[in-house]
Amino acid sequence: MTGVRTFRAMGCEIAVAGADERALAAIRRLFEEREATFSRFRPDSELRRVNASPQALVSVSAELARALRVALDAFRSSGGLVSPTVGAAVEAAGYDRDFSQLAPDDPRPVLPLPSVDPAQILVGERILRRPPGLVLDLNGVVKAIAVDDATRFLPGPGYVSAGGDLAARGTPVAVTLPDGDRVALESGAVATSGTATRSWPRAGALRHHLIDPRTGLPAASPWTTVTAIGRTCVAADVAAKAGFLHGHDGPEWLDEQGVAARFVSADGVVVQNGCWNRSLERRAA
Amino acid sequence: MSTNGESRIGAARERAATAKMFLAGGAVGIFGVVLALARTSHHASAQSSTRTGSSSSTPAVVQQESGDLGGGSIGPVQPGFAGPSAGTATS
Repeated sequence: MTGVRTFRAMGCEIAVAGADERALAAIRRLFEEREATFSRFRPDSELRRVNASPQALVSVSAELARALRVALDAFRSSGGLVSPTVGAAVEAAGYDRDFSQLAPDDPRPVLPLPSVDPAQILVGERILRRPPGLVLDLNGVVKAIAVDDATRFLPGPGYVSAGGDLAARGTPVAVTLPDGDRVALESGAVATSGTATRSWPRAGALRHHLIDPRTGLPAASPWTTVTAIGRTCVAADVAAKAGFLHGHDGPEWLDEQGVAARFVSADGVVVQNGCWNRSLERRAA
Repeated sequence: MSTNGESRIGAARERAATAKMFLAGGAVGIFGVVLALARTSHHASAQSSTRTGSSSSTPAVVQQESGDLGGGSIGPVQPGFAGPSAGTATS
């Protein structure tokens, strides 16, 4: 297997192992295309065009329609907590430009902005109906979709990782967790979500991008990071976000879904749910 | 009837036919939009997912919807582990 190659896209480092030159070029192009389509900050992105349209019915690319279907599935499978309709709330919390360009502090208060019910969204092959003014945010799934898609370019065993959301193909991967512990990902994907990286000061408090659609505010969760395992990177990433947003109930809720997950609290306490522990014990036996 | 009269009637018939086609086309267009939404519509309350399509840049994507969570497997990193290493950071 060839070594690890890296490049930057979607505001994070993309790491690829097991790619030849042709595969690496294709993967790089895939991430660039997805960023051009789904960026909330690039003025020429398709998502910006859709969000700015005053029409209820808008024409969209097949790629955007597909990502929105994934996001609506995520809403359903997360118990209604991972929502694509929280874009306005993310902006209201202060995340209204590229993360590297956020102001050091902004004294304006963060006001709750309840999200639109995703049941009001209808999406076809290339057409979308939604309430005009709705600010869609597909960042909750777009990066993970890109990781899953990119692994299909690998000619053999390897992995693709975007900012730590990782999908492996044909080989186990030793994955270092945010607190330094390690685990062997034997199949599927791993994703970590939380506030450790993307948080910013606003009105005297740290804010983050994981919005609770029930309140329209950055979620008050006891966890700093949640790492989850999934069949795909999308499944792992949605599970990690859901685990975070379910708060204290996160470990048990993910157990009920059959998801192995590991939670780290702000004071450094590590909680591994039953599925995580059983998976490790079974392999060790 | 004069030749001029016949040509005016012919032109009027042609305009009427064109208008009919236009209206029919519009109806088909609207019907098409409704049909496209009805066939593939997908919203959060749906119990089953429509599995579709691939992008031009993606080879043979079968499906990408998250579906049910779960799957994948982990184990301890055994001494002598020979696979590649990576990190998972917060996103």
